[in-house]
Parts: sequence; structure tokens; C-alpha cells
Amino acid sequence: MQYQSQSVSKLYFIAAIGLFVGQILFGLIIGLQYVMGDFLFPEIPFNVARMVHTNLLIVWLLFGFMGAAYYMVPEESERELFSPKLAVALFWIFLVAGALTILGYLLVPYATLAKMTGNDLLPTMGREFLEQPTITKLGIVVVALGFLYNIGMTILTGRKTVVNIVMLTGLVGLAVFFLFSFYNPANLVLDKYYWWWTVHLWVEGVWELILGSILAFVLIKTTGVDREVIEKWLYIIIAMTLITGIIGTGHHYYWIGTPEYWQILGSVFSALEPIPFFMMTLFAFNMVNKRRKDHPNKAAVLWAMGTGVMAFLGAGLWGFIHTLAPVNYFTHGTQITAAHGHMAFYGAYVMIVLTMISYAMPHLRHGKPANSEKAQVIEMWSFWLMTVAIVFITLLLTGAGILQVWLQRAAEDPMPFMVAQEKIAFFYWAREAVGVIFLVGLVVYIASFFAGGEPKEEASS
Amino acid sequence: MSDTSSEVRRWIRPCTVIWLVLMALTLVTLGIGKLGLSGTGVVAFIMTTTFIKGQMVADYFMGLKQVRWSFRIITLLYMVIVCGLILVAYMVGLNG
Amino acid sequence: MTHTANEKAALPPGDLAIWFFIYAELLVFGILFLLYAFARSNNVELFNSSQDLVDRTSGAANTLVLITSSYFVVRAVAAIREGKVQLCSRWLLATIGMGGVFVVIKLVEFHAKFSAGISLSTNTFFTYYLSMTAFHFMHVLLGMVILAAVYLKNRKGGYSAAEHRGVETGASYWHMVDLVWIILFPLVYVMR
Repeated sequence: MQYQSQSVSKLYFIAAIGLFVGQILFGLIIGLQYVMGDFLFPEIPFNVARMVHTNLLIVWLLFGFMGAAYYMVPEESERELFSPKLAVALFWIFLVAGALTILGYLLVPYATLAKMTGNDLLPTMGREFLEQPTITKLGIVVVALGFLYNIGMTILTGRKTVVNIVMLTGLVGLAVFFLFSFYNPANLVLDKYYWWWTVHLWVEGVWELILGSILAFVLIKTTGVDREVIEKWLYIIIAMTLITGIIGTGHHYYWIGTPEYWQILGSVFSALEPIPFFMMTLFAFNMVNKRRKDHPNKAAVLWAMGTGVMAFLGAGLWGFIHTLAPVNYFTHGTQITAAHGHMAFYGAYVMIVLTMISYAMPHLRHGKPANSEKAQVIEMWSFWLMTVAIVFITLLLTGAGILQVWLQRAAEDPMPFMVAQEKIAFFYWAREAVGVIFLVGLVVYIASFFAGGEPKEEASS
Repeated sequence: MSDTSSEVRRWIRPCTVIWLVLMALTLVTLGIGKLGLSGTGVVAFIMTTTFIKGQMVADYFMGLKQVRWSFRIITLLYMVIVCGLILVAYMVGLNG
Repeated sequence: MTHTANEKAALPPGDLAIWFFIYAELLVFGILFLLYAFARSNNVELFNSSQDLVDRTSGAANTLVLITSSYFVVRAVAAIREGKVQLCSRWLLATIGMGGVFVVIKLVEFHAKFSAGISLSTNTFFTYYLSMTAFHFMHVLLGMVILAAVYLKNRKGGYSAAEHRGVETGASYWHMVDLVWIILFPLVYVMR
């Protein structure tokens, strides 16, 4: 760690990991509710648990991104953070607001929560992933503005690097597209149309910029490859992301009442969305092959390369299999979507945040570039446990999805939804079992922070 | 230095010719469009000239003629596949 | 970048990264072209009658403009290879200027279509016609931005006879924009 103010990122990383645990626990609850419908009913019904599972994911990834920005931006700008105090204050505001929101979900019925928080004044609640009470949404905007101000001032008054500018662009985009969560037209088609501007343009647009810049930063640090080479790749990846991703939004517009041309535009452009992810894989492996030094933090390099591969598989390949309109006609909203969602979020965004944590934490905790050999071995075990688990979860859900499509939609004599669900229960049980292995992986991951041992020094090259 | 200069000259002159040829071929294509000509022969002719035009841009303007085949073949294959399949699609349309 | 006449370069001119990008872009356009062609084969009548509504002359004019601009950028690369920085700047400006002409002609064309009440939803032909030409239009703009960046760097003396990879990179991208239009023009405006 070169700058004192980078240490604020530690708070964010710890909160991220804590919320990650919560997300996985609720994932296991809904996984079980798939096959035991009345599990924990009426205390935590499925719809609430699912909301907590997805909202926690988004919130902890945001904590991760912010932590990553607070760590990376000072080092890239070659100056202290503009205001470390603001960063700490926003952390507590965001954490408390997030915790209150989750408690609100769990303790009172959703409709009551809406009434309590004055949803009538500006109705924004009740939409998937954007379930947060309006005042929480406003809080998010305030936190985002403060965060952008802090990061923006640091970048603009310091050394401007491509990595930093891309990060800032991604973060500004993240804030701007979130504003569409306040637009809630009565027309259901319009509602869904703009809803995707937040949802899709986040994960298949601006978040990829954040992902790209974090990956570039870690690769610059761990491989010693020239900045120019890495920046060039970053430019190309981002251009391709935006070219395919923006019009690729169309693949969400197929059967929801929007004009028919979206079937063509959505199919073509989203089918090409794997390209930037494939470039990212090539990028990560190329840079590691060209490395000028062997960085002692092998775990961080493993996470970085894992991100390249898993993002391509989860976001790229699993997205592609159901993105073409004629295929999506059958697979829309089935377990295929769930399979894609799990591997894409893990492969792209969970892994990039864990990459950054893995790289930054030894600096933050010990002022050394790498953890002890023992801690790294445990961390790499957790990498394999979680990654293999998510691969199996994805494969099982894909199996469930294929069967579901067949039984419920493609067969000559299609079954009703719930009958089809019973037929694929085996896949759900197996998924739940693998989910437990994922949790074990996560526990091992956390254990790696307490492994002790002598932190490693920079290898003399 | 004079060596580079002569080499550059050797590249500009054919490019100037290519430029004029490309302009002429475009006017021919426009003429066909204005006359509203159609049919197998016309489509085949237009696709052939398009292929030639594309190759001229790739080989001379992009300078791929001076590059090893491993790269040159990518644009060549691209032009062959795209122009070829467009031709196939038009033949299907004309017969159907 | 020096090589004798009979010894081929291992890599294409410009940065290798831009070539990956160029290939990816060619792929995108190639898929669009083929979708258009096969959509047409299912709907020949509709495509032929709709094609009568597009302005062939401005399509052809834009082809001439882009080809000429491509030639200009060739001259810009040639100039910098000989170390003529000023001359290179002038050819670059001419190229960007031709790009501007393309943009104006295209905007007039778009304006005429939209005034005539034609939109993406009019029919399949116009879905393709408008989305392909608009998508290409964005590439012209991107190409102009890239060339403008090259021009500014060149004006500050950033390139020389020995080091001019950036000029070649921008030129290669621009040629791609031209190459794609060379296929697009006969396909959408002329062939029937």
C-alpha cells in the first residue's frame, strides 16, 4: 500500500464479504424452498428470501466495487484520496441503509414496508431487483454522488491513467443508469423497457468497464507488463463491450410488447456480446504469459485468470445459448436463465471483486504484497471449491432448464408449470447439495484470512 | 532515406490507380441501380465487382499485399464467404 | 516497418490490437449482411418495392466520398513514412473532412426517410436498412474521432518516419469503415 487513504477500502471489503455470506445463506434457503415449499413459512416466504438473495448480491458487489475504487484510484492517481473521511462516512450510511432495508424485507410484509416508507409519494417499489423502498433508492443516489465526487476529484487532480478513466466512466454510468429505477410508468411495456436500462446496461454495459479496469489494474501490478500494452487491450475490450452491449439490450425485448425489430437487433448484437468476454480471457492469459516477474501473490493471479475464463463461460457462452430470439421463444424465463445468471454473476463480478480483495488485502493488512504460503493455499482451495460448485450449479440448472422447456413448452402435450417443476425436482435437490459445497468454499475462503504465517515479500526478479 | 521514399512511391502509385478504378466501379454499380436491372447475371456481376473492390481496399489501401498470407487470408476469406453467401441468398430468392 | 519488396511483413500495419478489433467489427457487419440477404430471399417482393424508396444517388455519392477518404488516408500514411509531418497532417484533415461530408449526406438521407414517416417498424427491409446504415454511421463517427486523435498527436510532433504506428492504426480502422460500406452499398441500395 503506497497511500494511507487506501486503507478505507478495507472496511468496504470486509462488509462485502459479510454480505456475501448472507447472500449465500439466503440462496440455500430458496434452493431448499424450491423442493420444500413450506420451509420457513410463514416467517421467510420464497419471494422475500429471493429478494434478499438478489439484493444482497447487488449491494455486496457495489461495496466491492467501491472498495476496489478506493484502493485502486489513489495508487493510479499517485495521490491520497480526496477525502478519506467522506469515504468512511458514506460507508456507514450505505451499510446502515442496506441493513435497514434488508431488515424491512424480513420483518414486515412488503406492502406494509411500502406504506411505511412513503412509496405512494413516488412509487418505485415492486419491481424485480429494484424492490428497495424509494427512500433507500434516494440514499443510494446520495451515496453514489458522494462516492463519485470523492473518486472524481481524486482522479481529476491526480495522474490520469486509462485504467482510472475507464473506472470513472463505469462508475458514472452505474450512477446514471440507476436513475431509471425512479421512472415507473403505468404502461407495463414501458416500465419493463426502461427497467432494463438499469438492469441490462449495468451488468452488460457499465459494470463491464469496471470489471475491465480492475482486471487491468491487477494485471499491471502482478505481471509487470507495460502499461501501454494493457491499456490498448482495455480500449479494444471496452469498445467491443459498448458496441455489442448497448444494442444488445434488445434481447430482453422479445416477448414483452415492444416492436418486432428488437428480435433482429437483439439477436444479432447480443449474440456478439461474448466477443469482449473472449477478448478478456485472451487478455488475462496473454498478460500472464508475457509476465516480467513472478508475483508472490499467486492467489490473486489465480482469481484474475479465473475471472477471464468464468466470465466468458457464464456471461458469454451461457448467455449466447438462449439469446437468439427463436431459441428464447422457448427458454424465456426458465431455469436456463437462472443457470446463466448464476455463472455470469459469479464468473464476472463476484470473481473480479474477490480478485481485487485478494490483491489488496495483503497490502492493507500486512503492508506486504502477498499472504503467507499457507493462507494462499487455503485461499486457492476456496477458489476451486466455489468455482467448481458454481459450474455444477450451472450445469444442474441447465439440465433442469432443458427438461423444463421440453415438458412445459416444447412437448406435444405440454404440462402445467407446477407439474413440470415436480418432474425436475431431482435437479433442484442436487443443486442444493452443491450449494452447500459452495458455502463450504466460502467458509474456507474466510478461514484463509485467519491462517496466519509469515506474509511474503516481493520476489527479487 | 531515398530508399524509403522510392518504396513509398511504389505504394502510392498503384493506390492512385486503385482509387480511380474503385470510383469507376461504383459509378457502374450506380448505373445498374438507376436502370433497375435485376436477374442472376446482374447480381453475380455486382457481387464479383464488390469482391474485387473489397480485395483492392484490403490489399492496397490497407497494405495487406505486403503482409504474410496468414493475415492476408483473413480478409480474403471474409470477402469470399460474405459475397458468396449473399450471392447464394439472392439465387434462392430469384428461384423461389 | 521497413521491409524490402520481396520480404513480407509478419504483421499487418498498425497496432495488432486494432486488427483484432477490425476482425470483430467485420464479423458483426458480416452477420448483419447475411441476415439481410436471407431475410430478403423470404420476402423478395417487399424488399424490391421498399428498395425503390431509398436514395441510390446519395448512397453512391457516399461510396465515392468514403473511397476517396480512404485514398486520402493512404496518402497520410505515405507522407509520415517519408517523415513529412505537415503533409501527413493535411491529408489527415482531408480524410476527416471527407468523413464530415459522408455524415452530412447521410443525415440528409435519414432526415428524408424520417420525414416520410419511415421508421424501424415500417417493415423488415427498413428495419435492416435503418439499423445497418445507422450502425455504420456510428462507425464513421468513431473513425473520425480516432483520426482526429491521430491528427492532434501528429500536430504535436508525435509521429515520425521511424515511429508512426498510430497513424497506421487509425488508417487501418478507417479502411475497415470503407470496406464495409463497399459491401453495404450494392447490397442495400442496388441489388434486386
